[in-house]
Amino acid sequence: MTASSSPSLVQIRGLGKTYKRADGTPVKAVKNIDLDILTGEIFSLLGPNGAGKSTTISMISGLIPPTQGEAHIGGYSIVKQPMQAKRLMGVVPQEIALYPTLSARQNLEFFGRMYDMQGAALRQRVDEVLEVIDLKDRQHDRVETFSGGMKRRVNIGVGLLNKPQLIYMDEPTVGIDPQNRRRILDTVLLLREQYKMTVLYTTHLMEEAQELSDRVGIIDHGEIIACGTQTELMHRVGEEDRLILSIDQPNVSDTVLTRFQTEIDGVQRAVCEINPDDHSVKLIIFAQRGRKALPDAIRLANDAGVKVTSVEVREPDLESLFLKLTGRALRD
Amino acid sequence: MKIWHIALNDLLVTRSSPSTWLFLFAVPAILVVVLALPNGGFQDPNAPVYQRLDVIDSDQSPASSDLLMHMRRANATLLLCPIDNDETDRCGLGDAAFTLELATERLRQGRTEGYLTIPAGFGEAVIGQTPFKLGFYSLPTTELNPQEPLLQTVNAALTRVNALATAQRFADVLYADLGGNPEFSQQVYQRAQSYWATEPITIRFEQTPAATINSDQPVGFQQSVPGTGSMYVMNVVLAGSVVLLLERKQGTMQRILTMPVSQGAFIAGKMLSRVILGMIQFMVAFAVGLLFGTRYGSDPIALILLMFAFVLCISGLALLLATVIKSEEQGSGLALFLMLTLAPLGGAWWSLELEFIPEFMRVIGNLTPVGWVMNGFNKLIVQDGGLIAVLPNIGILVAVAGVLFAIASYRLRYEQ
Repeated sequence: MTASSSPSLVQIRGLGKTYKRADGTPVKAVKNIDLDILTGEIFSLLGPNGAGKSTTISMISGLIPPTQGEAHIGGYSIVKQPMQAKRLMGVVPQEIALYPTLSARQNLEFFGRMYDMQGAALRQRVDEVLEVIDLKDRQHDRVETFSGGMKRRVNIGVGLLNKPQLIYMDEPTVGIDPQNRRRILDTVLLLREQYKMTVLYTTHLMEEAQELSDRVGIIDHGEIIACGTQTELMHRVGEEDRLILSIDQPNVSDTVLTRFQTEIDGVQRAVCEINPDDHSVKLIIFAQRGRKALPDAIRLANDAGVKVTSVEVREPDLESLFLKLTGRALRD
Repeated sequence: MKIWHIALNDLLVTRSSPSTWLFLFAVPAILVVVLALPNGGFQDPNAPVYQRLDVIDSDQSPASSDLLMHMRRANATLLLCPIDNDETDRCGLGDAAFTLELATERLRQGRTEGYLTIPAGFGEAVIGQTPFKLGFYSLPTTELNPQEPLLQTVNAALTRVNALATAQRFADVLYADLGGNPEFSQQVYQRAQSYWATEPITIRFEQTPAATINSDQPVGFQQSVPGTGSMYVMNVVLAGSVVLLLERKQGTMQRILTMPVSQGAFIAGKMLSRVILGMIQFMVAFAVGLLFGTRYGSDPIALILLMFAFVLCISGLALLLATVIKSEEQGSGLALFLMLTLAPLGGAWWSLELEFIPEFMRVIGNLTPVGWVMNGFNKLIVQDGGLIAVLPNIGILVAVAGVLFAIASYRLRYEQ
């Protein structure tokens, strides 16, 4: 069987995964996903932690079998022809999946051999990858001596060894500093521009998805709840701006929230959001023209005894789409 | 080919750990030597072993000399002290003056097997064929005591001396009646002596330095080399169960399985590296033994096959363990427990044939892989057997390995 001539490099149909808890209760981690990833695009799977992104990646990379549905990579079934499908893909897992006591070069050479590369060809390919990840000068150092960002780059390098048509990157910027994050995002863009790779990128960071993606799939509770280009997705949000008022109190009553909607022109609704990390509280007001509604919103807040500490006006983005679709912020 | 690369990578990772050299080479090497000491130390198991018998010869006659000479001839392992002592002090007398009290004390301390007193007048009694008592003293005996053959030695020598004396007396009487040459009887004695030159009966007694049970029991390095080797094979191979867990924990196993590598190839590669490490471990122990002059029988192929079968068996156990353990600590603890239980139980620390091993422990020990391999080593190294002798041992180890691998493969789950 040869690779499909379809513009979709990845075709996912009815894919699902059900686990059983220790007590035997079934848990649906991924539910009936249909998805096409087009050749040469960067597709981001955006969703909060635990949404099912990694499980989806694990199934379409052949690591765990789906309990329902099927995925084809370049026309090869990941279930029935896993070896052929795996040769077309490179995987960059979320964790640093490297041998810490071996050098960067030793790691790359070993994983290269898993793709049947050897001898001069292997050495040359490892040199190329070291150039891409910008670690040639540290190639003989043990990975355990590297910074988090450098480890991430080696982690990505392993995924590039076999010059894959498709590369899965599962939250590759988790836990690293802004400088290394920037470098990794640039590498992802380079993979598409220079090496014409198709990238499936998972993240819970809206900014990354917006910056990188040609198309975005939003996943929550194991389901794709929205999928399309960013323009298509923004249409779903409408023209709503968000007024984000940081407030200095633990909650806002429903009565006050309703007042924002009924007393200020153009306001669609208002919600109160508590950040679970720092317990800060924000009052989010959805308005058709945010800047116009801002003075009235602040006045109403004062009247209601809500102390506002800072104000921000945001135009429609993926975050607001997620909020609109789920009623929750992405980081929740 | 991928299996081989996975195994080589595992060895590379193992080598990159600073403690590898210590635990793979230095510790087992030291333990081989340490374990050899209580099992008989540095004595050459093939060197002659003497039985010390203290002799208090108050007679100092030709007859008493002949008696001692015939005792030596009858039992080549006999060391008559202090008469046969030499510059190496084989009798262990040091500078002490030899007395009856010293002989008694030496016997009490177990430094001799007994002592013999030849009172003055022994020679005359022999010539005169009159009743006479020699003193032979030994400690209360067990069923496997070495005194029995010693007593036989003394009796055999006495029989000869008596026979010679009888011949001489017979000649005396004969020539006294016929009025012959008075030197004739002496000539008869000497002629009779020459007839006894070829020894018709000898007492053959063999003793091992360790403690005297039988010659089929391993001694010193014969015990410590395969024993330590087997124990450290378990140490390094059973650790393989934790390695699989670590690979899973650090994500490298999952990463490899997203590549064109089957689960079977991955596990086979990991097990192959453990088999190689296990064989290296055996080689380390046996090399140390060679340094101390230990000989390993005459069938190296059988020896290597036996080692390989054991390593395979323990690899199967390690894989089965990998399907059970849930954490690194649990795996390490279980591996250590198995090693420290199976090793002494199966005879890796001491021979299961030793007297103090209760029969039920011996039975249990012989049901363990360590028991099977140690029994095989015993056949090859101590009894100088060949491949045929150890085929049952190899067969059972390989069969058990097959069963363990089958159960482990059934249980293995890679699903996260």
